[in-house]
Amino acid sequence: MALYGTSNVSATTPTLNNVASTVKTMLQLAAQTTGLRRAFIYEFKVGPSGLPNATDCEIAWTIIKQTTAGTGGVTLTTNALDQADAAAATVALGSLTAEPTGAETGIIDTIGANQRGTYQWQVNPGGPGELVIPATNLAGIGIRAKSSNYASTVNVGAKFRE
Amino acid sequence: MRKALTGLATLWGPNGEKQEKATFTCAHCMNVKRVEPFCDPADLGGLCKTCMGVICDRPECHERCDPLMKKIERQEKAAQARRWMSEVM
Repeated sequence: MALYGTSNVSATTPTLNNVASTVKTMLQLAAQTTGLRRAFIYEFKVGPSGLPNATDCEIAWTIIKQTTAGTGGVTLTTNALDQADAAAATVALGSLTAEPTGAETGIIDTIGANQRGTYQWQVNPGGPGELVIPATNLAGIGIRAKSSNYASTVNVGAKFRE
Repeated sequence: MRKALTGLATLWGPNGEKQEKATFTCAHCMNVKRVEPFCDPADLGGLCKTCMGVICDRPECHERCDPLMKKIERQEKAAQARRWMSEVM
């Protein structure tokens, strides 16, 4: 069981999308044709990384199943927690320019948090309750954010196993 | 019931206050549900007597037993078939 971690800043020059009033995918993990393999997310953490808005407000987070991956983003590094493990087959993408499809029907979780709040979810890796990414090309799971007033960047991290 | 609560959700508020809640993942749709301490198990959704998995309160999860891993296997097989067709055609 190989464990991996990534975040939307796991790139040499990460470019982060600002949160807006329309939903934006901040991090997506998706299967890809080369080395199709199931992935299991066992932890994710979300929170703001920019200055809070003067008007106190929310950030609404949604975790979604996607049938077609978003595009145009920055490919992020997936780090093996044990460096002896092989590289992950799952592709992590951040700061997307085109949103994924199939999102609205597959909401796994929704969190309404304060703009200065941080949220973390975790299960035991390899145990029950993990979020499964099927070994189907471009199928994946995305973590999205939207806010009425907050208009800066967020940090989103996830850990998964293959 | 406690065995079904496999996850932990932690929310840090604006002033650093911390809230922790146990969660479970629906065995039919992968919906993550946060659980209030000492709540009535019936409020969570229920237990599927066919697959013995804890399920959420979405009506489609109660209509019939369609476990998540079976759905994923179907999705993977359909994608394989599509890929095979596109290679043959």
